[in-house]
Amino acid sequence: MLKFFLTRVATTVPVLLLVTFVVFGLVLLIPGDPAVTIAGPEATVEQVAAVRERLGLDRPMVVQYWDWITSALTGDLGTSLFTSRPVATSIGDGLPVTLALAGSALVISLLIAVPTAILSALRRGTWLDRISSIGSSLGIALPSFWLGLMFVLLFSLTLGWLPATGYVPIEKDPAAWASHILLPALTLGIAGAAESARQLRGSIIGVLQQDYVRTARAKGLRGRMVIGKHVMKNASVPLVTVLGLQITALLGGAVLVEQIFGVPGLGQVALNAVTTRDIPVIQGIVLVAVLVAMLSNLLVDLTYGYLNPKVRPR
Amino acid sequence: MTATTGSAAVRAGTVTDTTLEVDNLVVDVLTETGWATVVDGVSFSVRRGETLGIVGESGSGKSVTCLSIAGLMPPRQTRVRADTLRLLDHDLTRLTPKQMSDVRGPTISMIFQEPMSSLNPAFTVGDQIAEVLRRHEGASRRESKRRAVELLDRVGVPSPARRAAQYPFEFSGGMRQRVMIAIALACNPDVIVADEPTTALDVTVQAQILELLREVQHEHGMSVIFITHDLGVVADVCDRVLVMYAGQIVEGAGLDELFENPRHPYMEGLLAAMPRMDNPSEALASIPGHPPRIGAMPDGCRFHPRCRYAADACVGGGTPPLEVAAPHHTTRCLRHSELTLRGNP
Amino acid sequence: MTNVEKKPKARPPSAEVAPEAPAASAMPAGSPASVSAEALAHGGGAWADFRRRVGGNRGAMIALGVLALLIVVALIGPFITPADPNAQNLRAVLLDPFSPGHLLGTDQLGRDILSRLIVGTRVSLLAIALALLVAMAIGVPLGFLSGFLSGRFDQVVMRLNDAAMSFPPLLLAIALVGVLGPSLRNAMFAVGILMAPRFLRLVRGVVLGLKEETFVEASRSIGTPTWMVILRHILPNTLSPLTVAVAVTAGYAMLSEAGLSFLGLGVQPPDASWGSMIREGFLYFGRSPWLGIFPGVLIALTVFTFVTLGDGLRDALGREERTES
Repeated sequence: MLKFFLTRVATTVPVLLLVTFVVFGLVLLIPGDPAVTIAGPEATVEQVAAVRERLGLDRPMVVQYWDWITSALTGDLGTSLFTSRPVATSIGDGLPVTLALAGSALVISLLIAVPTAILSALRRGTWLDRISSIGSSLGIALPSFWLGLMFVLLFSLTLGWLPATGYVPIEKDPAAWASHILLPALTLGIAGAAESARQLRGSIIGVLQQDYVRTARAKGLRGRMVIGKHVMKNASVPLVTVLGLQITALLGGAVLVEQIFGVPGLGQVALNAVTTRDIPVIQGIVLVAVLVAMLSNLLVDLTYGYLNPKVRPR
Repeated sequence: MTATTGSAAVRAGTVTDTTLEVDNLVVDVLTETGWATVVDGVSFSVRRGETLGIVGESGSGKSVTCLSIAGLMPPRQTRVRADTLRLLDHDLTRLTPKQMSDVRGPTISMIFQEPMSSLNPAFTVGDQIAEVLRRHEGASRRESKRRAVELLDRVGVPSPARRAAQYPFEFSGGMRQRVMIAIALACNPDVIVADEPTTALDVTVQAQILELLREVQHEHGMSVIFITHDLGVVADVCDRVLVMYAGQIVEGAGLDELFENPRHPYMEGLLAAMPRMDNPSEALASIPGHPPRIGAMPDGCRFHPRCRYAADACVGGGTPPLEVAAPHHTTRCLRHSELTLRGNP
Repeated sequence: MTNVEKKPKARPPSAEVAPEAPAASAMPAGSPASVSAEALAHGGGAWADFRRRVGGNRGAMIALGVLALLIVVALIGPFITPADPNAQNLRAVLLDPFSPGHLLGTDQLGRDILSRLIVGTRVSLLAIALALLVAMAIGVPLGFLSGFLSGRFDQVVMRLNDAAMSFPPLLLAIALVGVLGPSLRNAMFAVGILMAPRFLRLVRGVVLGLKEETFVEASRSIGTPTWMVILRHILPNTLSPLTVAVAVTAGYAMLSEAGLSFLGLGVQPPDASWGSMIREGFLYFGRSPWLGIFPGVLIALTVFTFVTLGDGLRDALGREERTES
């Protein structure tokens, strides 16, 4: 197990290195003189020079990268060009919120997807299956931000059940946290739920036709046990693959959802940075988001070892 | 329908000893073109300690017969009817799926053909044996684990304690089939259905598995229904044999009687396709043509299009009845009294 | 055993997934449109065959019809709008649908919603096309070379691919647009880059699978030049899975465009795309929900069409063996 884990980590390192190149290289994509563009059209020559110096744009590329990556390793992601706050602090404020949102969304999406997939796989070809299959196509097709607006319209403005916007940290008031996070997490989780349900339904149907499922029934195991144990453990393997991709997508989708529900997460920080071309902040957020995505993918991959014993080296 | 004549003869005097009794079993399955009858009026019974062989080509309905009895056909795509389905004192026609699952394991259990795919790849072998004991005997986790190791030992898996913690992919085909037998044996069933248990195995392993089956049967005195298309295996293990063709029993007799004096041309054909003990160099004959397709059964004797003895009477007029041709010997051939068929003693 | 004794099936399985677990260390198969290579392994392109198979799939045909309609609207849209989509009328703002002269009402600046939706169709479809073009221009050749050359080149490309896939897609698009400046072109360029790995993995997989196929080996062994092998055997076989992938990816591109435009990073005012219309209606949502509902429904309908088309194409083109009958 440890060896499996270490191999996975080892393959991640070069990828991470490539990612840092890309993130760092964002500056190079700025059309024209980056310092001029960042400083803005009304900037004086002195201001442009100040920007150039602060970003270290006057030094050779390799040196710039080296400085950036070494300080990033110590947790220093530079300072914002506009607020002069350390980037790490801004990210530290937003990251827990975004993680809570994405985590809740993942949980909600699985709570929707797993029962739906089991039911429609077992009742294949019935109206129930057809409805859930149309439902999951819709779940993929509906833009999450639009769905969020509809939820606000329905549950907040019309029915008044849940707050439309805002966020309360969980350690302050768990109940208020839950009521604030429910709609955003549902909004963010629906597309993933639809995708997981489709994937899982297909793999359950495939597994149901396996001989070992017949063996499990021949042993006299109850239906619940046959499905819950023998079918699900095997059918979950492709789902885990999808989940890895979904976690990555959730971190991106969070930007939209945070915007709609006024959740002060990483997405808000990112959007502010983008509108002001606050390059260090953009770089920092992308880097941290990739790191989080990679870490969660690593964790997801570990469940492979549990689900599929063949992967587990002995 | 006089299909019960044969089993009635067998049953006479041995009623108390019967573990499984099937009367007029009809199974329909849903195909792309609608419902089709794949098992048509099958009746037989099995005595305690007896090994009953069911022989037939692929698609003759032998596996469907047994899967239907055990309630293992997919429910929404299968209709199972029978006048009698009695397993010891259980009337299987009246059991709910839940009650049926209580019967599978302690009363009737199965060994399947594909040892490679019949075990769940995601669980240890020990767990797959132990869960039967937990389910049916309420054994604790620890107790069931201990007994799983015992069972592995019993079916001849070397170093059972270590092997119990391994996964199916770490076992060879023969070893996996031993595990399947351990699972089937776990709750000491009264009837074991072995559905082509050796077909997928090497010849030497085949012999070992057959020997193991014989041993356990001897020890526990259970009834075994042995489904196979291999007459060599039948000759090796069975006491009594039913021959199925196109969803029906066409002949039934004791092993020696059947091989010496087949009373149905189909059985004669099967025997002719088998190497002879007394003259192995003789050319093997195969039965011309193919079995009929499901839903396109020939009228009259279902075997007549392939039968070299077919007469006008054999064509049309519905399926011939199963008749007693000799003591404990039934056949569905209209001309059984006129024909002298060649056996393979 | 025959199929009779196997569990009989009521209907042919439509979208089954191979139950066998994916390879251990392999990263998740990126594209949802991964069609097994061997199922498509057959010589020669067959346009008629394609038409016969897809024509028999009702879902795919309906989706194709809707798509054709959208394309027509996109093409002739500017000529059939009932009003100038950018003409403001501050005395007729936020009119309800079915108002005289404004079938679907007006927005906060009194612009005709129907006209803006029609014009937005072209913007949205062009945006999808651009993203797909960028994605395929990067993904297809790289995937092809990667599969064909294997070795060191393949390893480098796959690491790059892994890197690209570890970025949260929308976030990287936002970052790119933030750096390049907000415009629809930049946004779709970013989306295209993010979609490229789907095509790369797909094409690489097909090529790798085909290389092992007997007919390709046989063709090579009789001395057919490599470019002929590629042209005759490999290229035609990538077409079916690519078609499926294009349909599915188009749906994702649509959603990304809408999302970026909603954030104000795509289409810039006064131009309209469906996503930007939702953004503009956002603030007036409580009073005039249809400002967001109409474009949202259109986006969902378009993506639904692409998803259905992808499913239909996959059913029609993938999985089952082709039998020459």
